[in-house]
Amino acid sequence: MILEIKNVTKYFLQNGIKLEVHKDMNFGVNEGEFLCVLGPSGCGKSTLLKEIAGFEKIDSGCISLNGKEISKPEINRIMVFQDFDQLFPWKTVLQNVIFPLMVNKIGESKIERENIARSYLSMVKLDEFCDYYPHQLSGGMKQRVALVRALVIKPEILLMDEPFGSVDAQTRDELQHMLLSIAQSINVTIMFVTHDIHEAILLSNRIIVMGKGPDNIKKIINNNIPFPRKDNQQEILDMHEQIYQLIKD
Amino acid sequence: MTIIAQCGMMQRMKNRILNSKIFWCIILIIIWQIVYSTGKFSPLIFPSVLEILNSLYKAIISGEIIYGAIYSLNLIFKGLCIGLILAVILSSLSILFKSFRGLVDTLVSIAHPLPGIALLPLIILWFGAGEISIIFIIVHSVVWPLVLNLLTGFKAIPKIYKQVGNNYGLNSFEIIRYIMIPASLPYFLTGMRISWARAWRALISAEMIFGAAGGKGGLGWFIFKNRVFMDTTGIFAGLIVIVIIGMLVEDLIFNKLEKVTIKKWGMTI
Repeated sequence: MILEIKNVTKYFLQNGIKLEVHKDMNFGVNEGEFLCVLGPSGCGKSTLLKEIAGFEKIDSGCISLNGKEISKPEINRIMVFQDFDQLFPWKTVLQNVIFPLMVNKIGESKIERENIARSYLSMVKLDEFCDYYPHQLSGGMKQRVALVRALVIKPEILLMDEPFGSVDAQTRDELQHMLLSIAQSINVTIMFVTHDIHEAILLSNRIIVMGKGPDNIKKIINNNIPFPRKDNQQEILDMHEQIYQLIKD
Repeated sequence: MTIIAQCGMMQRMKNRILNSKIFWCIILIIIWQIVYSTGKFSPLIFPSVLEILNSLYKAIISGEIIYGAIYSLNLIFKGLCIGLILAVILSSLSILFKSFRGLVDTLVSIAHPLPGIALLPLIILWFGAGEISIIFIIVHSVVWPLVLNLLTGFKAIPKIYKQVGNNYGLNSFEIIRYIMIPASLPYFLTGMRISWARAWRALISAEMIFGAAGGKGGLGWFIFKNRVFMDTTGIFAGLIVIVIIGMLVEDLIFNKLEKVTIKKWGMTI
């Protein structure tokens, strides 16, 4: 197990009233797996991801990566947000991807860093857009750059907070396939938050189904449906039905 | 080419002409000349365009006005640089350390509404009537609007940039250098525009007062001297140079800077 969530409790204070987000939550993330966290909006799944990233403090319990308790954001856990504005508008696509390499002094020289960045950009088919500025890109392209910027420093776990939540259905489909092929070609552990049941089934090895209320892990489902997964496959439809019933209750 | 396309082109040309400053300057000059030729005002207080241009030409040939412009620009450049560095330091401290925030806020609210000219008597007492005093006034008129704009800019930075910065392992100084400064650039440029205009005004007024006392002087002193000799055309020549420098800085420096930065990045506010 690479990431361990142990007895994690989190609450917000609102007008002096304690609002519990989750209570004594426990689960682990295995190395190299694609774990989806699925749940309705407001169930605390995004907050959970922010806690793991280190953006939000937990009130009790422990989150540890490779046995080491986490306390603040670090480059071993990189977050990809839903927001298109996560790229720096004053940097080109290439410069955005070079940036994490540069500040962390990864790579021997400027040229080497540029080559690393270029090779990652070609993984998401953005070779020709290296010199574009983010405002010249479509939403889907921005998310691809954000994904590559996160992967380029080889985080131990990639945290994705509904990264495809704001793009149209066709682009989402494209992005999902791209992410899948990347996840299968490089060794990376991914924790992916979504409210889209279909997306979770299509991408994951394992699905954590969350419900509303603080005791909120409803079930952890192993997803062994073989790849490539097709939209109208019977197994997918069955799993969809199973999860739908789980969330509805 | 179709008639519609032709009309569109003509419309665009018309818009370009109407938007160009040179076009409107020419119109204003023509109106000026018409008012002059009615003979309602004495040429001593309302000279003709030709006389003004002639006076300007003479001042350029003698080098007097060129020297004055260089002298003024040199002072303003020094003042702007010092003011800029001070403003960046003050606003960074205010962002980095909570204890500084109150101090900087207080300083801004005390000093920002205070016209530089109002400080003149005090500054003459402290520093005498020399270059240092003029630079002091310029720094004063630059630093506060700039701090104000930088702080507003820092506050307007989307939270996500800082989160991304933290995630990629940046420390506080790197966050300022790599994220807060470029992200607040639109506000910084607005602050620089305001600062430049204020500094330019402060400089000219200070020169008019100091120039009379000190030896050499810039454009302000040039205008003051011509007033003393009742040379109205000379006064206008000085004013024209001030206006031209102001417009050139606006168009060539600020507009150009915006074009290669925030406009290119799609960051205009």
